[in-house]
Amino acid sequence: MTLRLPHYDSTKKTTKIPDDALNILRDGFFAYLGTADLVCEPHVTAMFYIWDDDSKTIHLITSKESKKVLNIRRNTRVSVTIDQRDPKSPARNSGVMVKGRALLVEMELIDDELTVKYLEKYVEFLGTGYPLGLRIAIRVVPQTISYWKGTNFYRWKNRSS
Amino acid sequence: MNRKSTVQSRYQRKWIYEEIVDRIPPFRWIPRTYDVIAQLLLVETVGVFAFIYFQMPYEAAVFGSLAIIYTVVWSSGCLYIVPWLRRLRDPTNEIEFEVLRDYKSRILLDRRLELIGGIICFGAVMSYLWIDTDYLRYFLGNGFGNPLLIILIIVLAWDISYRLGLSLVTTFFAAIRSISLSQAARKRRGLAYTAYSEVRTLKYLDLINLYWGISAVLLLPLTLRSYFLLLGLAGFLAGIIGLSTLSLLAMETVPWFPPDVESILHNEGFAYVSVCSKKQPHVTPVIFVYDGKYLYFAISVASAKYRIIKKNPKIAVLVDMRDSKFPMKNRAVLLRGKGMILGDLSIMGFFKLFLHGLWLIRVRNMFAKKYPMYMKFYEDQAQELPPAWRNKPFLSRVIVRLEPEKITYWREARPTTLRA
Repeated sequence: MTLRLPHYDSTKKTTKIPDDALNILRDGFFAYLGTADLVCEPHVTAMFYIWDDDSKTIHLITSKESKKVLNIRRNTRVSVTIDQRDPKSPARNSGVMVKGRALLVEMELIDDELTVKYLEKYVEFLGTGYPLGLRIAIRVVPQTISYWKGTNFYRWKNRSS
Repeated sequence: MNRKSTVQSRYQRKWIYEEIVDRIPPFRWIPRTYDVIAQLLLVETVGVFAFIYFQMPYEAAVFGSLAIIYTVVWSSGCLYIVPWLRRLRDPTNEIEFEVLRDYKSRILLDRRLELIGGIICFGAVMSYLWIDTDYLRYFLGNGFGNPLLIILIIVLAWDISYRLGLSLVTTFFAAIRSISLSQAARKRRGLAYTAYSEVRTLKYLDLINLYWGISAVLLLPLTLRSYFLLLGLAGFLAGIIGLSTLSLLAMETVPWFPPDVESILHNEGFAYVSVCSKKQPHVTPVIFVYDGKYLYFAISVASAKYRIIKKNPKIAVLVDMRDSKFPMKNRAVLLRGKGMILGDLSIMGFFKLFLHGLWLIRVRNMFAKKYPMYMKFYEDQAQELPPAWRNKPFLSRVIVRLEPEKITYWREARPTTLRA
């Protein structure tokens, strides 16, 4: 029984985003968006999101007055977690945590194709009268993507930005 | 959704003591914090003059001063907590609202109830002093029979009786309130509840009530010379302690959250913990248990969460019911507050272990009950897991306890902020 200090070495560094992580990002249904205000008080909400494969960004759509938008206006660092739960065994849990910078983008400036994809993905939830005019999009540009499956951890760092 | 406090300006009636402090000259000129000191000095000066003038025995001076200190301790408590009681906000549950309204109107508005205890006590003490003159003769020495001194004794006796009586009355009604509140809390529906900061305030008031009552021990030396007074004081103390304990126990059974929130916290398996370091939030899923007041989750000492929580204990935890088919079934609760790490391997950790040892065992049992498969996994595969993942208390796993300060509840993406 030996005590070991934090295992930084157990996280494997990868040069490109692992495929499994991309799959989770494409297929996940709910994203958990963590924001923080200036005094570093965290806030987390469950949200709908859409992953854009070409630009490697996450888009989340929310109402303009919400607390998360308020937080992002002051502090653009955010963290988005998308995971697959397994109630039986922790070894089969997998998930992705994206840490990055958030940009607030007006809905008019979002690529139409993406908006359509988003509306299609959540058609049962959003209904027909979805008030896009009152919404604002949060574009998250990943800086690091952590992916875990069971006890294996992988980390990808965005070198281009 | 929340009503304003029921104690409106129309009802701004004050206790007699507060009225005196607000209206009568030497007290009304000075701010409230100094009133108590002024009262102490005034009464004590009169007492000391009487002591010197009538050459009373020393015991009279010492025990008399203790009695004056009692009235002052009580007064400071009164000026401190009564405004607090007035500011208490109303519960959203109708029955609990009624209970608290009755309580407040009895305590704050009904002068008869305020005075009844004091009058009974005063009557008993005065008739005792009338019958058993030896008692006063012993203390007053030469001055016995002087009309000015009689007035002083009457004032002092009334001061003390009024406070004792009021203490007993408030404690009695506090006990009744606690019991009916805990009964009413069982009939909560949906989002109806009493904000737990209010529950905590009421508990705190009960505790102060208990200190108030117990400060009557200062009167003990005065009563040692007579069986009757000693018996009365003992009865008073027993009553206060018994009723306060009853009240505190009843308050313990009042749940902190409305039933909708409780059901999510009890039934859902995963929580998303957000912590923040250097303005960068960090969100990860954890397994958790909830014991009706606090939320506990287990983390590994190798994790980033552990490092961050040690530096910045502010945590946000989201627990959600999620269903990708039925929008109606999506609900979530966000709890924000400060986290405390239990059972880590440090000097403070060892010290806390003495305080929280049994508690940790309880939390561990709760985990075992809620996540049998997970615990089995940790036991079976202990050797294959990396050391940081093994479920060894203190060495690789610690428990974080979150005390919620802010609660937000979502139903179909519509947030409701609940007062904590």
